[in-house]
Amino acid sequence: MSLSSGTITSQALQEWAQKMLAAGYKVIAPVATDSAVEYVEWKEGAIALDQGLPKLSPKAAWFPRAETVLKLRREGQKWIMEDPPMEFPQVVIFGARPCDAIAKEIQAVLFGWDFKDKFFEERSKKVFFVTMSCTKPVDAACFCTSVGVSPSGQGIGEVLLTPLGEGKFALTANNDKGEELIQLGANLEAAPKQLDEVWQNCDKAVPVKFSPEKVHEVLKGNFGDALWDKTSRGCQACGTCAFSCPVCHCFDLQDEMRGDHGVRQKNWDACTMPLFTLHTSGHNPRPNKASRWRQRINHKFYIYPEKFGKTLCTGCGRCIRLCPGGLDLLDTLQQIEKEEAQVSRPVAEMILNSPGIHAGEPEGSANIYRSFKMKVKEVIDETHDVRTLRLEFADPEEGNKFTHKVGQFGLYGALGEGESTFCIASSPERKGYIECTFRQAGRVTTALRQLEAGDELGFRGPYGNSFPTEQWKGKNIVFIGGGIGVAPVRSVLQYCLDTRDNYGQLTVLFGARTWADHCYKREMDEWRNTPNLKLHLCVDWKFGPNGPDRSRAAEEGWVPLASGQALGEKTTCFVPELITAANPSPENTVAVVCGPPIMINLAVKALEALGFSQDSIYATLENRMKCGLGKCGRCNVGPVYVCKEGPVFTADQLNSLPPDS
Amino acid sequence: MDWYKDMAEENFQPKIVAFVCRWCTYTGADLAGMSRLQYPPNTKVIMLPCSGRIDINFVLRAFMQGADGVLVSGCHPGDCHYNEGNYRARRRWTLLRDLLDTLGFDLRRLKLAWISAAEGNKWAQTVTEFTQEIKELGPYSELHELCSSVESPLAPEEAIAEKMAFTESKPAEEALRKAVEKAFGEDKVAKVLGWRRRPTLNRTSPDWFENAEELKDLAAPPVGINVVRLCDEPVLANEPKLGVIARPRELASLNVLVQEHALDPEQVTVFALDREGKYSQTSTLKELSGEVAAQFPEGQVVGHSPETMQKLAAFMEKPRDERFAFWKEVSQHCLHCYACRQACPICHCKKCYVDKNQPQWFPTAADGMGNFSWLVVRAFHLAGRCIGCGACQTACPADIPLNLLNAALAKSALDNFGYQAGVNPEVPPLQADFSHKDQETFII
Repeated sequence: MSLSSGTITSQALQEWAQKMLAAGYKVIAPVATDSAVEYVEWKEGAIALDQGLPKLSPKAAWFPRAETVLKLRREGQKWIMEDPPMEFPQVVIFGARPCDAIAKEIQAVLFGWDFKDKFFEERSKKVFFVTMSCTKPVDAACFCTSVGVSPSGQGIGEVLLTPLGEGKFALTANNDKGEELIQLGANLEAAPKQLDEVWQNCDKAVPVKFSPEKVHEVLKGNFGDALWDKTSRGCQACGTCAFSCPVCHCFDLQDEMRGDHGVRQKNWDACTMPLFTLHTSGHNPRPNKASRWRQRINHKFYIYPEKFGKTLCTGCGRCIRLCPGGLDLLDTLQQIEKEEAQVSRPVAEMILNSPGIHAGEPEGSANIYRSFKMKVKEVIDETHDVRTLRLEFADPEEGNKFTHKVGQFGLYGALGEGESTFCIASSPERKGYIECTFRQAGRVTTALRQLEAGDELGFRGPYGNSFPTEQWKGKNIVFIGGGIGVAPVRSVLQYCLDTRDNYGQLTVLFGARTWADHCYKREMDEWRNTPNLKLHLCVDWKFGPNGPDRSRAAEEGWVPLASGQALGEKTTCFVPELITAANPSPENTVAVVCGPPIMINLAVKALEALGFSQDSIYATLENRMKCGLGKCGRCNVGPVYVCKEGPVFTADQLNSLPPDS
Repeated sequence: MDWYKDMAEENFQPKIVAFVCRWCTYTGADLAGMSRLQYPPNTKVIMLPCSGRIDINFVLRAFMQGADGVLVSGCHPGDCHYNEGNYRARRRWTLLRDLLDTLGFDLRRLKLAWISAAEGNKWAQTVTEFTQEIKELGPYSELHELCSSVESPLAPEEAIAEKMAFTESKPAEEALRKAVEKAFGEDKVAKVLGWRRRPTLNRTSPDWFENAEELKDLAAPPVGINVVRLCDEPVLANEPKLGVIARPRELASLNVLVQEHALDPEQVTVFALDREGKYSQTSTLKELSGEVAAQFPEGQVVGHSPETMQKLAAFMEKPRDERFAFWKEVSQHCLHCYACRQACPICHCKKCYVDKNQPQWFPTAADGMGNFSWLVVRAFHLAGRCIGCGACQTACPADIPLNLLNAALAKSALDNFGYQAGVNPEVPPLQADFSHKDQETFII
């Protein structure tokens, strides 16, 4: 199809838009309101074609603020899950500015990598742009040229309009779809004159204000910079910047019930809000404004380019214009650019280059947010607040096809209440069921705890990478776990017991606050009876006003560490001390560690002191995750997405990451 | 979702939820049952310890989940098992009714009553009458339709309250700068809250200053942001030598924080500006707190401009369904960015009720139900506290005229209880107090 071009009057443009409406397109166009220009669903009236940048971005057209991704229905004990229809209207965004019209492509990289978000794909397939060149910047906050977006809009969208003055516009089709739109009845006049000069002037009108490459370089190494605090103090911790941004893509998944009917919704979320990364335990990897502001800037100018090759910013300047706290992104970037790039250890190449594991999707569903339906087979109480659920697939077919690897995790959903991330705590060798072990802490775990045998719940997974158990063949393994962190370690242990001949000496070092808090007690006899397996447990007891209550510990057979004596099974100490006392030989040995962040850090140090090399220590991180699919933007530590490239890392890899956890 | 449509069938049976106190009304309802009194079975009764325990969210949630009417009832004044729970409830209901009225809510569907343990007859009669009334009104499809919408439209087309835009920053006046410098010199203050200039759009950012050198960036106070918001910062919360540059509206918000025991007035040094932003004096907050009363004499709403009050009056002239339609339209544009809450100097709860999820009362999505809930709850939590600075509305990227609701509640507080927010830190906060003289014409 040959592509048309010509000139058109604003009156004819309006008529053209009417014809699009008549042809069944939904038309979104800038309209002047009392206080600003806004993108609205246009039916009639004047389109504010050349009156500046609309206040908010049009991204809701392809990424709605709240989108139903799953329908839920409860019938007694049973749950019914249905995919919502994926039929979306054809939308033309008429008169979109280049910085808005390019946004869809930038987001598409994220929603299309690895797991494909069909909702995004189907919607965005049907969103078309009639782009309008910017002949001059709106104000000093415009910086599209700095991030590689041309205000002339050349090549952006389906059709390009260039204002020629006096109510006339040059119209150029960019592709076949654009031509199809023009054929709906754009009343073209004479072919336009050469537009190159007009377009060049557009570009010249917006001076380049910083270099994203330089910013990228500096951001790699200035994690602890004082600048973050200085520039973020006015932050109100709202979501205005993210919600007005044409490319911010982070979201939250929520189950919402009304009576017996409910939906799983994908809602916009913002990294500037404290709740975004808050763990149920109270730990927050980004606890203050400075760290959240750093995350916002890092995500746009370091993480996204590093991972997806595009800057997550179109230079529209909305976050600067609308920020109630007056935060100045451009000023911050310019300050960053002036800094010396610190030499930082490159994030271990192997992390970023390792492909994410493509997990099975529920059969017959293109919906990545849909769970497998599981049935509780057995409820096992580990401690007073920790419970293990043994789950089997409601559909045995699905169960037969399902496989996972040691160390992978999943999202367990108490339907109607939401989802929580835990590892799969059972060995992949034990077929027909999976287990999850969780401590009752928040909304979802409370709801999971109320489930009884026969009840249904949802499970998405398996996600993430796994422990390289193949490489470990013939080696000795030290298992180190603290508190609820023993769950992932137990899955490795169980796997090694199932394939016992492949591994040498096994040493199990588990700790908890008290004996009552130790999980998997019922399995310890099996472990004790396994040849070549050493089991050492410790309790660090609750510290009272006078220190740990050793006397009570002694009654239950727990003895303090004493030098010169052989280490018994029951000791009162912290896990890192237990490691030192157990003194496993680093020779031909790997260590698997999981527990609270502080314990992981100290355990790794203790192992290193014993001579373990950094790449023989493996830890699993479970940050707050909502999607598990590498999309929602929560779990990343620097440029590494824990849900994709993790949760299993070597100590060497962890050391190369910024301290963002 | 179109569940609400099923309920509008031909043979309409109203769904009514009654929230009742356990000591009087529930016992009264029991008495009605034991006396074999007949009344329609449409009402589902939920028992609570006291009418004072009946949170507005219960009422809201009931309506949103499909109720056509809600009955709230407790002990007669003077009869409360806990002495004063019902007095507190009464005050809250007055404010809530005025808020809902502004929102164009159908108040006929919310019935409030005092029914004692001995009034089995009154219970049966009230329920019978209310059921009949709701039957005649039909299903509350208006609200149910709104609450079932999950479509998110793009942007609003009109704003009815004044739109307050951010202004360009100007350097602070010399007199103010000198005064702050002097306070630093005398070691009276360690951190001073003020506004810092930001280069790109020549805007201002609320910030704190730690020494005299930094003051070169000090800006004159802008429209919108209320710097008192920063008092919530962990690094400032326990600062023994805190300074605040304050216009009357900042002063009023500081007074509210003092009133709610969030700030010690003797620890705070205030650099006072007048309404035009001109520097007037420096003193401790304790000494200056009376200045607000001087600016907003008795009988005048604090903070809100006469124009806002006129617009409110004009808005209230409109018929109820037009008011509802207006809010239905504008609330749809809410992004749930919580900029209104975050910019508010009075919102200082450590964890906001909407961020709590055990149980999750608040629908978090930016859809019909979530947005309407937020409109009601935000305004109501500020009843008798909002000092009319307008920071919420300036911050709102969707241009929702939040200030109109705040003004309606300020007017309600003034008309019904003669209460002005932020004027006197010595008196108890409006909703933490009650009077035997509070009117109750709307309670049967």
